[in-house]
Amino acid sequence: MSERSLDILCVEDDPDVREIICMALELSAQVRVRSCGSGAEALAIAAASPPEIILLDVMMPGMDGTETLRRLRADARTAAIPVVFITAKATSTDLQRLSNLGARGVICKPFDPLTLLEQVRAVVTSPNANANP
Amino acid sequence: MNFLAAIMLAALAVGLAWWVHGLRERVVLLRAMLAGANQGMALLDSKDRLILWNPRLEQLRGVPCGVLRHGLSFAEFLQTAKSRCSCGEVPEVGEQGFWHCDLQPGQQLSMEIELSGGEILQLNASRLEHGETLLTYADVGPIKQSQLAFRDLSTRLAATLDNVLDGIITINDRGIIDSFSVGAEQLFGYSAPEVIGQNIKLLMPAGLAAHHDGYLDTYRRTGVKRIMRTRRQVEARRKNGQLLPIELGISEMRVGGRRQFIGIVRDITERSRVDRMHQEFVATVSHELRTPLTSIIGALRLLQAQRELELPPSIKRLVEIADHNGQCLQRLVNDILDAVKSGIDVLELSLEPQSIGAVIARTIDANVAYAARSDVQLVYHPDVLDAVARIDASRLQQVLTNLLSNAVNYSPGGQRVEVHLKRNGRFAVVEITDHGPGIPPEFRPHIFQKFSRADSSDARHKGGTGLGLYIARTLVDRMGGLIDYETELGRGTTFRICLPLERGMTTTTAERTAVQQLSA
Repeated sequence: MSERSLDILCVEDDPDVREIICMALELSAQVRVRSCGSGAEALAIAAASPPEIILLDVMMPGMDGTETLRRLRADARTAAIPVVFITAKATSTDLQRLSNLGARGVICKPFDPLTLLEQVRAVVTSPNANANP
Repeated sequence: MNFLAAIMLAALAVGLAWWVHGLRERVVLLRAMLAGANQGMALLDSKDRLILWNPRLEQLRGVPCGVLRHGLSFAEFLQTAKSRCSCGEVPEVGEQGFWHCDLQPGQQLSMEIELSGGEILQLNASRLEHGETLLTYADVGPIKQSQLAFRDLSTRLAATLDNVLDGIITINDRGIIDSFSVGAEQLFGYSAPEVIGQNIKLLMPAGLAAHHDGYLDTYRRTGVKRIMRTRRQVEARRKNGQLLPIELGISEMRVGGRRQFIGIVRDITERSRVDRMHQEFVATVSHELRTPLTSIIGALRLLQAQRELELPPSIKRLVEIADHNGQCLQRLVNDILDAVKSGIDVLELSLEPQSIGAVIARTIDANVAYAARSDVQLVYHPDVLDAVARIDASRLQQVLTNLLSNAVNYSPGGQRVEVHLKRNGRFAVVEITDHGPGIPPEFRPHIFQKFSRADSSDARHKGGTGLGLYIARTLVDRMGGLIDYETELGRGTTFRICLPLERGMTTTTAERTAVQQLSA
């Protein structure tokens, strides 16, 4: 996976965090990052041109991350895309619940931008792994 | 003829003697039986005159020895103890006697007489076939007292149970409700008569009710206790159909050889609401604090990573300072959130057999840069090649990070913080040693308490909330381990974590070498 270009969709309502995530992922020349600020936009983008991975914020106004994931899974065009939650949720119960929703893994905020891509790859390549800081 | 008559007479005399002998034997036997009886017994002839009695009768009636005699009428017999009767309820015996009026052969009469000494005698009279009367006296005082005591206890117990706010419900092993306390009535909206005799499923939501027979059946067959003597949170259904969160504790008892289950039901609606608000608060605070931190730390890290940018040294230094403080702030936020969550002592840990060495290595890697900024070197000495214990790796890393950052914060520049992994019996031991000033004696008793600091001014100099060691001890406890320390003023401090090893899951360097040599 590390040898070829990786298409990642970043869904994050906070524009600063979204920009940091994009910059962190684009430190690698092999990554193409698209981004949006809401679940609704994410559904449209993912359906039109499915990315290889979706990084999905959990607490977003309107459609939150868990609802976005549910709708992604309900749509045949996007059902198989690996989703990694990025969250500021605090408790291990929260994290376990998020994992159980069908996401490939969970990365907690604040994350280290210099290792974010490694964390994403680790989460996606090991089916049951959660990447915590 | 005379001879024949003499023989017949003799035979008759022998037969009569034999019959009298047999009769005497029977009387002796009867007397022996009466003497051994625990009840007082007397036999009256058809004219109510005393013909036979046993010693126990004299004891129970308090009649002086020798007063009872053959031929004593029943009226006189009753009078012998009348002075002892406290209530005047000795039956008055008129000309016809008190049972003469109605008591027919084959009939029985029973009554109680309370004596002044507190004894309660139960008198039974049975009219026999030929008009004789058999009297039995039993001292039922102890039984009566037990009954009264039992009734009193039952009343008190019922009053207590009815005043308990929790609902108390008993069911049999088929799930049928046997009792339903006042607390349960208030909780569920049913009256006790409405539910007693009904299946407990009446009080459950459909999903739970569908499986309950299966649970009981499995328990009856296997005896495996999965929910006995535990408290768990489930939903229950009120009479009006409304669901309510409850905490349920179930225990088993045997009553008269029958298995019964007691359920203690507590309404936790309010507690659940507060818990939910608390969780929402923590989630909101967590989000509101960590989101800007993500931007701050992320931006600074990315700035530092822009190698092609030739930042002036002063700007570089400012970025380092900002990054360092961002990291401190992150640790503070984590500590505070851990402490205000539903309580770190009830935090769910995912305990699995994992390598302690790997956790140490990861923690040191993550903190090398932090230590370097304070001109402190982190050195790892794995005295055993590895050790495996049932731990939550991320929580152990949190504990080690806390101990390492404390060690770094209190180390003079140019010093080393050393980390050892050892084995001591069935424990893996992790030691983190600094060469700092040591822990002041007056602070030592409070070191693992919440919000404790050696000196409040430390908070400004060293950072931190005073929660780190409290959290560390709580987490190590939860992993079945121990944490302690040794300290010497002016020489430094060693914090030691002992974690129970998984059996056979450690190998010392020496053992490994020996095995390798044997293999060779």
